[in-house]
Amino acid sequence: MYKVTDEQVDFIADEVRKRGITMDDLQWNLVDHVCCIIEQEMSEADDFHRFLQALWPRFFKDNLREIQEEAELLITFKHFYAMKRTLSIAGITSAFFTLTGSILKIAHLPGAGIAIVLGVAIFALLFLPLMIILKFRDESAKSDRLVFALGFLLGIAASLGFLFKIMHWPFANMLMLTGVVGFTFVYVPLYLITRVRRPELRFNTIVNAVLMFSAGGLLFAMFNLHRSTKMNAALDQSSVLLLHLSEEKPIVWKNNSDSAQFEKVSDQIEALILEVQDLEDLGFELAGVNPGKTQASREEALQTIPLDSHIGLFATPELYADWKQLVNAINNTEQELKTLAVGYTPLYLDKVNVEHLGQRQFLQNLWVIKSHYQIVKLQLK
Amino acid sequence: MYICPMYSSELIKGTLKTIVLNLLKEQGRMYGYEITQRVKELTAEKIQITEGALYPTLHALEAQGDLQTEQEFIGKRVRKYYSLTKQGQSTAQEKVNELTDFMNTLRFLLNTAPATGNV
Repeated sequence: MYKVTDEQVDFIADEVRKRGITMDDLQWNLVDHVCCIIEQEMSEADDFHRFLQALWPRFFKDNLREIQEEAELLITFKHFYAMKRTLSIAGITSAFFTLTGSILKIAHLPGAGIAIVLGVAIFALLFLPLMIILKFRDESAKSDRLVFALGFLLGIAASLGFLFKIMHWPFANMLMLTGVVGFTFVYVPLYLITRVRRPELRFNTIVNAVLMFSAGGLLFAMFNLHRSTKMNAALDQSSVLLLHLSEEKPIVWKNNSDSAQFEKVSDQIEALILEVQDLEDLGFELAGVNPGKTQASREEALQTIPLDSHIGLFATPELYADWKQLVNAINNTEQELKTLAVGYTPLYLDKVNVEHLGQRQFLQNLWVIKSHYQIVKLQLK
Repeated sequence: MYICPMYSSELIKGTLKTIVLNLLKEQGRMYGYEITQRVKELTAEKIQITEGALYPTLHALEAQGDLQTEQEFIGKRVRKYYSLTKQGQSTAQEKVNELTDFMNTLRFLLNTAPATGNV
């Protein structure tokens, strides 16, 4: 029996590598296999190199790499099922988290942010990318693959945009706009063009395209590309408030922006101030003092309350979490406010500049009080 | 991917996994070349497995967790011995049962055996 030498083993291994086999395991298997054949079938008189060259075609149709490709295909096929399972699990998990998050957010309960971030992140970064991979495998036409991949990429951008908007993170508008505009005006037409010519797909394609175009168009219509009128009104309003606070004048609402929105915001702030007064009244009531109606009588009444009185504000853990969220939201919008105020002239500009910090502090407190005054307990000795 | 003088590749496509698993169940551990030779022997050369079909199948079965491997060095050569894992043993049994059942159904369908099922 012929015995393959170590040099010949090296030579065969080299050949296997040169012919495109890169997987170590497969290299070892093929080298051993070739050696076995040589040792079993080659006679002492045969030439090793000639025998080897005649042997290779037994392994393949066109080239040796086919074996590795086939192995990879079979292994990926196994991954394919794993991917489908992951896709289902990711889909259900993301739907669960997004729904839970939305409900918590509406009810102002803690955990809303985490749930929404998890839900959308799983959807955009796991579910949709897996969909791209699976579509690439399922769709036979190259155009379909590319169009679907584009659609899912735009879907990723849009869903991340919505998430960023909810969480007040930067680049939200850019992501949302890219996703929605790209989806509606690029993806949907491409989807229609590439599929409508195929008779078996025509009806479904038209229906789907109309649905997607309407949904995308409606989302696009919701974008307001101008500066928010509400924000303008709020800036006016805060300036008026500041004046009132600093000069202790009665509030005279100036309808500077001449808009209905201004009136509405004015009413809201006025109502808040009345709520603050209610709170003060509660304090007087607890102390057994009748403050009267005028400002002077109220100040006098305040003097009658013993000096070492203690006043405390208490909130439940849930409301405290809510309060923290509120403060964070106010801090997050600060940058936005500053950007929007560029080029805008508020009323009493000087005072706004001087008292900017105090004004913000006041508004912040006002909102906090509004949210919590119902559970505030005033304890007076 | 079979070289089989007797049978067309369409006919026995899909049975390679069953053949390999069942062979390993009976023989314990085997290496690639040994599997091809054993199949050739057992079938009187009616079925000859090509390397192009065998190794991808072995790798796929290993990736699925049905097979485990041991390496042995013969000089500079590395020989990979394949054997069934616990999971592989039940897979082998399932595959054999499935194929046997299929063959019975086929025999009945083609009227080459008297009907035994409920008709």
